[in-house]
Amino acid sequence: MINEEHLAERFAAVASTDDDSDWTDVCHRARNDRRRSTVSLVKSRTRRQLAVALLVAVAMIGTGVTVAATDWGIGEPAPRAVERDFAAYPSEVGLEPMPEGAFLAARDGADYALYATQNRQGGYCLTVRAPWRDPAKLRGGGTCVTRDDAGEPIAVGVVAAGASEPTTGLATHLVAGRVLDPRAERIRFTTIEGDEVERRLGAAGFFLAALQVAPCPPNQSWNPVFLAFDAEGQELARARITVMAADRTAGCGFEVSPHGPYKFDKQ
Amino acid sequence: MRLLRAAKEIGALYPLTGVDDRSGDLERLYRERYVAFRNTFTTITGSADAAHDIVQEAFARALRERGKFRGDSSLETWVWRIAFRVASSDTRDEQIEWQRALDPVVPEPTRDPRLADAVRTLAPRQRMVVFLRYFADLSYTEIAAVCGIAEGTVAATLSQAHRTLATQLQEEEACT
Repeated sequence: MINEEHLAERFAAVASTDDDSDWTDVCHRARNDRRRSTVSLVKSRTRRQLAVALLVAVAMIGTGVTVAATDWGIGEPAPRAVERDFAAYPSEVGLEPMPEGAFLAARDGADYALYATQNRQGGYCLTVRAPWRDPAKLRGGGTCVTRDDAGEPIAVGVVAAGASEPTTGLATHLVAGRVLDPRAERIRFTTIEGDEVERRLGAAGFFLAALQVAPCPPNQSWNPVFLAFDAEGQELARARITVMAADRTAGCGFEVSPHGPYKFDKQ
Repeated sequence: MRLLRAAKEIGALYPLTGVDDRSGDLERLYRERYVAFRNTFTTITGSADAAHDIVQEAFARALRERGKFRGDSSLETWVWRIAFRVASSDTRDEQIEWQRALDPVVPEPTRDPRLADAVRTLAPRQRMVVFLRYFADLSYTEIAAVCGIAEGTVAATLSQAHRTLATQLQEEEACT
């Protein structure tokens, strides 16, 4: 009789260890399959490859056409400068972005763009382009999210902040996050001043909101409830998140640290 | 001011605990078990690309229909069942070469050509159970749940498969 343990070792030897898993593709399919009938999986894969090729072709011929990014895997590829930005992420933090997979995740107006890529630890990393932050000139590496945190239904944080305007004293804060539910289309929350903000989700459920924040807001901490909705306006998830925590060591301002990952108190 | 100091370059992303734990469970299952799923369906379909698509589609359906999971079996068993349904429907509708399972291809046959040849001599049901046992690393109970057969049948089928493999491997070794 055959030795089962020995047989298991032989099967293990002929198993492939290549990992071409792509969870964001799963989410994309889950989101889109509601709208698609029976179609060939193999053909859809071919179509995606073609779509990627077309995106690259559009970029190469320089038409200036902005292509809507709707998927982690096939979002508009990030510029090389963004890839280099991710590559500058400090390795001592323990999270390693994969720069070659970076893509445009969300925009807020013409001036602000959020880029994302997965990290080797199963989470993802983010960086932004803003008038005061050009990835080609300032390579800070962005911020990274752990695998566990990336699995949260809603994750939100401040990914960059500009200097205060001399005249108004207001500073632009870039609030970015992700809704995990692939059915989600929009996210809504209130600013520290109580104004309602709504943004459409971009690729892979990411969003970006550029908010004007006073240097000494009336409430020193900002912990709004974030609400995610599907295309029909049905609420899918909600989460109260402390986006900015008051810096108790200073008279005014917020306590922040570079590069992440961060985990503020959840409420 | 701390805010101004931080304005040069800051980053933060703070999550909140979940409303939808099941999607997180599915993602964790996917990340931990993707390779096992893909290897198993590679042997069944004869194509790593087709296997990848089946696994992607299966998890997408599981994600979309996660509200239907009642916990009667493990989450993994539930996804395996979905994956087999996906594979079956796709072979019917899109002619993925399911029949190549009659001439199964292990993911890396060159690493053990004798074993690859021996697997080809197994009956289809034996192959299925063997693949689920050794590529998917499922227990007898899980295999029974996935295939919809009795646990005793799994044991008997595996026993037959072991005898066949032992015979084939001994014969081949004797010829070399």
